[in-house]
Amino acid sequence: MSQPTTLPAEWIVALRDCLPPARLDETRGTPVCRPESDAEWAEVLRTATRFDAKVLVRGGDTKNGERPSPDRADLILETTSDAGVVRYEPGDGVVTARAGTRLGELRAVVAKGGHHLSPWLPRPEGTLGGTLAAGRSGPDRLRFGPLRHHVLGAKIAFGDGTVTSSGGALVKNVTGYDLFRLWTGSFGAFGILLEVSLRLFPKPDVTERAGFRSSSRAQALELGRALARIEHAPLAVEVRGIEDGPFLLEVVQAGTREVVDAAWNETRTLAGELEAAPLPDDWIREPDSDDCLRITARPGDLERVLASFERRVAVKPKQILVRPGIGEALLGFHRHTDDLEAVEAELAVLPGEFSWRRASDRVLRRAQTREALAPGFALMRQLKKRYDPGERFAPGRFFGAL
Amino acid sequence: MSKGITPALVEHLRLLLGTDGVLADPTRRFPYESDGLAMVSEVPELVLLPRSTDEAAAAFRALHSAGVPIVARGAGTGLTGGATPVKGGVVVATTRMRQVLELDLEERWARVQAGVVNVDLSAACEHGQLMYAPDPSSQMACTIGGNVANNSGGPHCFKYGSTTRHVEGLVLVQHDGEVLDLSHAPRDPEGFDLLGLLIGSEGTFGLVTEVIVTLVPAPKRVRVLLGVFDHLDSACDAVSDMIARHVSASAIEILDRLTIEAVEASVFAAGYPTEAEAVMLVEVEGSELEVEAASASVEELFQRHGCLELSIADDAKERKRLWAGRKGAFGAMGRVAPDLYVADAVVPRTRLRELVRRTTEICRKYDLKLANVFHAGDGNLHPNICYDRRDAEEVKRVLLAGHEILKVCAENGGSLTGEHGVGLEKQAELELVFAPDDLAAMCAARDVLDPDRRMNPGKLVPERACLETRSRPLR
Repeated sequence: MSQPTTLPAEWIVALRDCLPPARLDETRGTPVCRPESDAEWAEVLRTATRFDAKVLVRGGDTKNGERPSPDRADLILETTSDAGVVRYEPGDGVVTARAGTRLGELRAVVAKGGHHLSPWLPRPEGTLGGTLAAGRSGPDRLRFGPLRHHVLGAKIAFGDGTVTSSGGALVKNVTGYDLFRLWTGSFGAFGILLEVSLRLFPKPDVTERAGFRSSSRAQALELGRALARIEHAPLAVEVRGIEDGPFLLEVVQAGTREVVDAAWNETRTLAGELEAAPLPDDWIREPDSDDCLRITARPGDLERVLASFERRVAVKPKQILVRPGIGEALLGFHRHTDDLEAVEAELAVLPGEFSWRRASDRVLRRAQTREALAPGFALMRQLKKRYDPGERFAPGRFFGAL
Repeated sequence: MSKGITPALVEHLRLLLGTDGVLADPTRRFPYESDGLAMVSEVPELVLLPRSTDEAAAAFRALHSAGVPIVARGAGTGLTGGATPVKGGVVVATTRMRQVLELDLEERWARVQAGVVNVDLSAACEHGQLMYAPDPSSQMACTIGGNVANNSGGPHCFKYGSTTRHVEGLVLVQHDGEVLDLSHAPRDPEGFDLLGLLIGSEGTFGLVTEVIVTLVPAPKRVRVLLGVFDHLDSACDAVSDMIARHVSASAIEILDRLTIEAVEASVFAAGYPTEAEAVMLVEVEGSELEVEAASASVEELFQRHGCLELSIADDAKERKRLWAGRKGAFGAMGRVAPDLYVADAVVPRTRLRELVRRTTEICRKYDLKLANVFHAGDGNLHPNICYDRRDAEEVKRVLLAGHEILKVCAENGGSLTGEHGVGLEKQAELELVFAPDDLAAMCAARDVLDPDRRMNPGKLVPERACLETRSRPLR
């Protein structure tokens, strides 16, 4: 991160005044605040506005590598002190929680009420707000659809401290503009998410998984795609490969005992002679290499898009995870910044859609040039300007360098 | 004719859209005076019927130069006055934009013009065993563009979700004629989710001319269970229990006694017992295993809540018959009174019984005839108040009752609209669920997308809220 701009001495005094002492940490280079309520968020943001301080928001710190460092950050605001379930009625299938709530904790709460929280993601320490800000879906998207379809409403604090809500905590609701959809996936470009309502799904009685080994990626992807469309469709289907190794097709079935048994019969019939393969203990795994590129395409186009990428790009991924039913691939690379800058340079002309899940600042900055070519970018810019006119939030960090 | 619409402008529009694309004659403009909210009407000064995005964009540029308000219209089946040109200007209807432009059965999507009728889209992909899931009651007439504008629902949205979950891309002609082409937007956008913002914006951000929709597999096995209840309360309780127990249904609908009587006396007669206080239609679908398991759960809960009689339909013809009563319910109400005020509140599904009761009490207080037919599984109530618009005093009572119903729902964790939109009708009630700052944030989006407030003026967010915002900047 770039060095904080020097603000007048009164800045830190004002910060001390606006929060209880325990919620301000001055020991690091950039002061860190941990507000615990709407009123405290509003107060801190008003203070930041008064001094034109730039703010970097942090949740569980699990997705930090997805966006470049901001041009300037005078204050870090952490959301994890403002956590907890606001309302959860198991009979209604909706949960409302503060944005700093850890996903693992939220998952445990709703599981007790018989619910499954989608997205199903690897890092339980990630927060609800961070997940929403990143617009992150998991492998269970195959059954439930993307996260943005589960969000029912959200409360947000704008840069001047104004706190507003849109949507609600109802499974069906078209009252007013769906601003919460604009916030979802914006990485906090418009404001700080404070509270989120999500639709929940029934927790299956049984969840089981099985692995199959294939020497051909194309074969594994074709099978994975066919499996995604069987009568008792799986919760998730993933294909994993490591450099020069075989491909592992992992299928997760979930439902009642009878349905899961029927699903396995269908799965085995389709898998035919493929050899069963043992699976590691951890259920949700994504490439853990230094850098990670996400590729998306229509499911039927994904193999072609991957082949096209491989023909054009000399750098080989060390790990690959493909979700054939969704049309998503995650490619893990070891960090060689120059190589990856070369990879990034090719992406604008390749078929498919690309985004970095982790990369160096240089690569992420370069990617912003490509992002600015996205359909509707001019409108995105206008919206950003309207909702964050003071560029309060992490300037230079967002989509297309907005 | 307003200042902006000059004979020269009309002539220019005729050159752009052809003679058939411009309706200036009063008798031809008259049918566009209102949508399904018949109590408010205003004949547009001009009606335009573009055939393509390019034609719409050219017309919008001309109207922009002249400062003319524009109201987008699909089939005019909306129920909140969303397509009524209350501030004058032109109505731009998508009547001549009815082509399915692309259909990819393998990848399960279609690109359609906005004027394609909802039911025609499902018919177009039926041969591939696919369907378009949102199915509003007006699906025989309503258009995909209108569905996008209102984020429309329907009975099967209980399983499949509203329109926003079925739209992958769209093309929008903005107030100044600029074309926002999001037809190739990423399926899971990494940037801002513009589609999510635009869907359900009720024509205030522009005219949707093309839509890329996802199609879903048509279920192989479907069963409809019809439960007859001697009390509306029991039917509501059965629904709350089904939700709490995660019964896997694709639709859960309730009709009350007055609705049943109207339906059975109409051409939509479905064989519902007229002595029943309520009937509930539950549809289950999936594999044989899933259908049997879900039916067993429904039957058990029906019994537990005092179901008097159960009918089961597996056969397509029989299912269609049972659904005909539900789908035709609004039409059948014409037998009860000349006009129908269809309210559209949403409530938490744990409180169905209590809030349905409250709506009944409110209508009794105002001496109004109430018929309930609603998407019970989603908590989406449709208290239908029967009235005669020629009776000004009765219209007043209808509006008072409508307001009170929404107020009670909002006070109990509910909201104003589940699928019909805010339009003209519910603007005053927005303040029941949103604070001034919430509305100001909505006005900010409109500042960006329709700075001159020429797109469907006077709809959705109250002008008062936006004016206040403009005099007091958002930050």
